[in-house]
Amino acid sequence: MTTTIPQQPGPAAAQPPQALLEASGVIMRFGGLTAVRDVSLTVNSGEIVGLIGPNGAGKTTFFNCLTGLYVPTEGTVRYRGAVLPPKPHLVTQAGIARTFQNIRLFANMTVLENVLVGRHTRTKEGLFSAIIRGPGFHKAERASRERAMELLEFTGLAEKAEHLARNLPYGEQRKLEIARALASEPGLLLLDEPTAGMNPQETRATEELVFAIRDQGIAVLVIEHDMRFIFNLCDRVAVLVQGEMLVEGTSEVVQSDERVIAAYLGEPFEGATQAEHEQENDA
Amino acid sequence: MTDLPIAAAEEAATRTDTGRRTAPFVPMPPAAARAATLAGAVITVASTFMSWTYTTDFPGDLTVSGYPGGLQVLTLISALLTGVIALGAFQVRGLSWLNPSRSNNSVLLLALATLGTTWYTVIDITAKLGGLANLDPGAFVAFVGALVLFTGALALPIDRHPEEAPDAEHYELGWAERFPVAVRSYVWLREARLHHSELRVSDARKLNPWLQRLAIVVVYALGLKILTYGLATDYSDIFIGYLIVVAVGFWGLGAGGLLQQFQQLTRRNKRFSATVGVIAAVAYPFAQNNEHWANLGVSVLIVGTVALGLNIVVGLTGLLDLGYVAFLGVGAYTAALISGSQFSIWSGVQFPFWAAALTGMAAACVFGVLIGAPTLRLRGDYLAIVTLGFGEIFRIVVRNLDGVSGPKITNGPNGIAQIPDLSVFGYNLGANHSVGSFTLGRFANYYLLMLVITVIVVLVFTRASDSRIGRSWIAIREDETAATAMGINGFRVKLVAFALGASLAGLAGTVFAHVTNSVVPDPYVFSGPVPPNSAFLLAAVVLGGMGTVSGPILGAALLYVIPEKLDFLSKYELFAFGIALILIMRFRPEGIIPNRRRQLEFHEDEAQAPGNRPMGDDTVPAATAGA
Repeated sequence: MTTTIPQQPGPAAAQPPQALLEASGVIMRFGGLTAVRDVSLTVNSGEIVGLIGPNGAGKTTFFNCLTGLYVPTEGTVRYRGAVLPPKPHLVTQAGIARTFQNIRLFANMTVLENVLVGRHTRTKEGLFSAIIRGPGFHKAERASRERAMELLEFTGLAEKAEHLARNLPYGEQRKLEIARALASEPGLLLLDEPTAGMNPQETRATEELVFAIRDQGIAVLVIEHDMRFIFNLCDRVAVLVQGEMLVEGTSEVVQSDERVIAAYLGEPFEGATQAEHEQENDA
Repeated sequence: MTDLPIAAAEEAATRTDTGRRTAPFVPMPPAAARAATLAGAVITVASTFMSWTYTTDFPGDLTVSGYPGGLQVLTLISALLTGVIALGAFQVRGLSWLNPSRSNNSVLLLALATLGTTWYTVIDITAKLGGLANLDPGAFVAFVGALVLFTGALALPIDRHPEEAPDAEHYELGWAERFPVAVRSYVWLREARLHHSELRVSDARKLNPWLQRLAIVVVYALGLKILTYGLATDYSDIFIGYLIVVAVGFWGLGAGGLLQQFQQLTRRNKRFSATVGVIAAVAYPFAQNNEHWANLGVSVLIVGTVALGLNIVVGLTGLLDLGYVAFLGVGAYTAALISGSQFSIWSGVQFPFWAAALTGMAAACVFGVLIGAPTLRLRGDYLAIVTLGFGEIFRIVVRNLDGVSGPKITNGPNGIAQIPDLSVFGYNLGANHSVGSFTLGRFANYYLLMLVITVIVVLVFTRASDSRIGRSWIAIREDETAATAMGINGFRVKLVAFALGASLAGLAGTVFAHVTNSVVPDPYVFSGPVPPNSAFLLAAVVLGGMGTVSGPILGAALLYVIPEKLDFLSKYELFAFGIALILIMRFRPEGIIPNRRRQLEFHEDEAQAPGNRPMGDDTVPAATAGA
C-alpha cells in the first residue's frame, strides 16, 4: 500500500506501468434497467484516466461498482490483483478513495475533522484506547492531526482548518473532499466531476491539484464533462454511452472518434455501429 | 467582526456602525427612557421593603415592612439585577462588564422578568385572597414600579432582527388574511423579533488568571445557591415566581453576553472549572440537611446519567432509540438479582458493589449488542420503530418471567423487593454518617456514589466523542454513505455506540435498583408519568441539547424537578411536557445548551457571511469589545 506523503514525489511514475485497477465485464442491472453493460477498464499505476459520456451514460453507476457501493450484477473488479470486497469501507481500506458528484462532506464538522475522518482506515485507536488515553493514543492522534494538516496545506485549506465544512465556498468544499479522500492514503483516487460548477480559474487550479496528486504516485480516475479539462489532464480517456464503452484511448484517438462526436452532439451518423442500433432497439 | 448586510435604513430604526438594527418599542426621548428604567428599578426595589398584604394567609410572609420576604425577595433580586445591567448598558464606568455587548435587549428581558414575577405576585394575592382589598400600598407601588421599569426598557433602543419585516402583502397567511388585525399583529411580531446573535464579548485573556478562577468559583457558588434556593421553595407560588425570574433572567443575561463571557472563561480554564463544578456538586448534600432534596439529587443524577448515555446514541451517532430505558432496566434487574435480596432467585448471592456494577454493565452491553445487531441494519424511522418494540419486549418479558407464564426469574409484576443497601469499602450507604457538623443520610450517601458514576460517564462521553471513534459517530450522523466511503464500517461503529450507551445505562441501573430498594417492570415503559421512561430520557436529551455533556443532565434536572415542585401540574404533567417540547422545537431546536454545530445548523439564516467566522468548539467567536 502506498503511504507516500505529499512532500515526497513517489517513484511510481518512473516504474514500468502495472495494472492497478482492472474492471472486466462489469454489468450492473437495476431490475429491468441495465445501467452498465459489459464495461472493462484498466487503470495503470501513475496514470490519469478520464471517463466521459453524456448524462445518464452510467458513469457514476460504474464508479459505485468500483467502490463497493453497488455490487456488480456480473463481472469482477480487481485492485492490485485481488478481487475487491463488496463493501465500501473495505474498498477504501484496500486503497481506493473517492469523491462524490454532489458534494458529500460532513457539513457540521470542521475542515480538519473532515480530513481526520478520512484517516479512519489508517489508524487503529478503538473505544478503550480513547477512554484510557494512554501515550499511544496521544501519539496516534498527534500523528493523524499532523498528516491531516499536511493534506490541508497541500490543498490550500490549512488556514480554514477550524471552519465548519458547510461554511466553505463551493470550490473549497470540492478541494476538501479531495483532501479527505487523500487522507485514507489511497493508491487510486476516483474523482466524480471534480470541476462541476467551477469557473475557468478554479478548473485550472483543480487540474494542477490532480497533476500534483499523480506526481505522488497516486493513480487517478476522473469523471468529467469539461472536455478541455479532460483532454489536458488525462493520459487515456474512456467514453461511456448508454452504459456501454464506446471507445478507449489517448486524447487524440478519442477526440477524433466520430462516434464520440455523435454521442455528444447527437448528429445523425451514417456509419452507426451495430451496438448503437441495438441500443435504439432496446429503448 | 460584524458585517451584516446593511439594507436601507428605516426611519424609525437606526443602524449602528456594527450593522445592528435598533429601534425602541415605545417612542420616548432617550434620556427619559433611561431615567424611567432606573426610576422603575428603584421604585420596585423600594416596594419590596414595604408590606404587600395584611394577612399571613398568602404563602410566604408578605406583611412585614422593613425587609423583603417570600416572593418579594425574587422581585428585589430581579429589579436590582435589571438596574445594574441597565447601568452596564448605559456604559457606566465599572459596571459595563456586566453587559459586555451593551445591548438593551438584556435590560428589556430582565425588566420582563421583574414585571413577570411582581405582577404574578400581586395578581396571585388578589386571586387567592379574593379581591384588591387584600393589597397593601406596597403592592400597588410594586405594581407601578415594575410597569415603569418595563415601559422604560421598552423605550430603549432594542436590537432587532437585521431583516426588516416585509409588508403585510408579502405573507401568505391563508384564511387568516380575512382578519386584518391578525395580519397586522403578525407583521408586528415579525418586526418585533429581537436579535442578539452577534454578541461582543471581551477577551478573557486580558484578565488576571487568578481573577478568572475567582470568577469561576463565584459563579459556581452562585449557581449552587440559586439551585438550592429553588429547591427550598416549599409551595408552588414561590416556585413559579422563581421559574419566571430564572428562565427570563438567564435569557436576558445571555442576550447581554454575560453568559457567553462566562462560557469563554470556563473554556479557557477547562480543567479548573470542571474541578470547581465537581466540588460544587459534592457540596450540594452539605448545603442542606433535607433527605428529600438528596433524594431529588440522586434521581436527577440517575436520569441525567442515563440521558447522557442516550446522548451517545442519539446526539452523536444520530440513531433514534425509543427503547433505551430497557438497558436501565437490565442493569437494575441484574443488580437486584445479585444483591442478596431474599426475593431474588439467587438470594444467597451478594456481589460487592464494584462487581455488581461491572456485571450490570456487562449484562446491559450484551443486551445492547443483541438488540443492536439485528436492528442497526435499519435506518431512520425504521430503527426508531424497531427499538420502540424491543423496549416494550423487555418489559413484557420481565413481567412474564414469574413462574407462571415463564420460568421464575424476575417475580413478574411483583418485582424483586427488599434489595439491601450497598456497602462500599465498608461504608454502609444505608446508614447515617456524620461528617463534621453535617449528617449524611441514606440518599445523600447514594447521591455521592452516583456523583462518582456521573463523573465517570461524563469522562467516557467527552473522551470518546473527541477521538477517532467519536468522529466516526458524528460522520455517520452527518452522512452515512460518505462515512462508509471514507472507510468507516458503519454497522460496527454504530454497534459500538449502541453497546456503550447501553452499558452506561446499565451502570446507572445498578445504583438505581439499590436507591429504590426494589425493581418492578412498570417504570421501564416507552412513555409514562413516572420519570425513567424512554420518552422522558429522549426529551431530556432534546431539551437540554443534543451532543453536549451538560445539556442532557440539565434537561433531566428540569424535567424531573419542575413537575416535582408544581404539584398542581400532576394531572396535566404529560400535557405540559408535550407543550414544552413543542415550544422548544419551535423556538430553540438546538436545545437549552446548544452544541455550536447544531446551533449553526438550525439558525442558518442568522449566520451571516459564511466563511468569515471560525467555528470550532474551542475557538472564541468574537473578542473585540475591550473597555
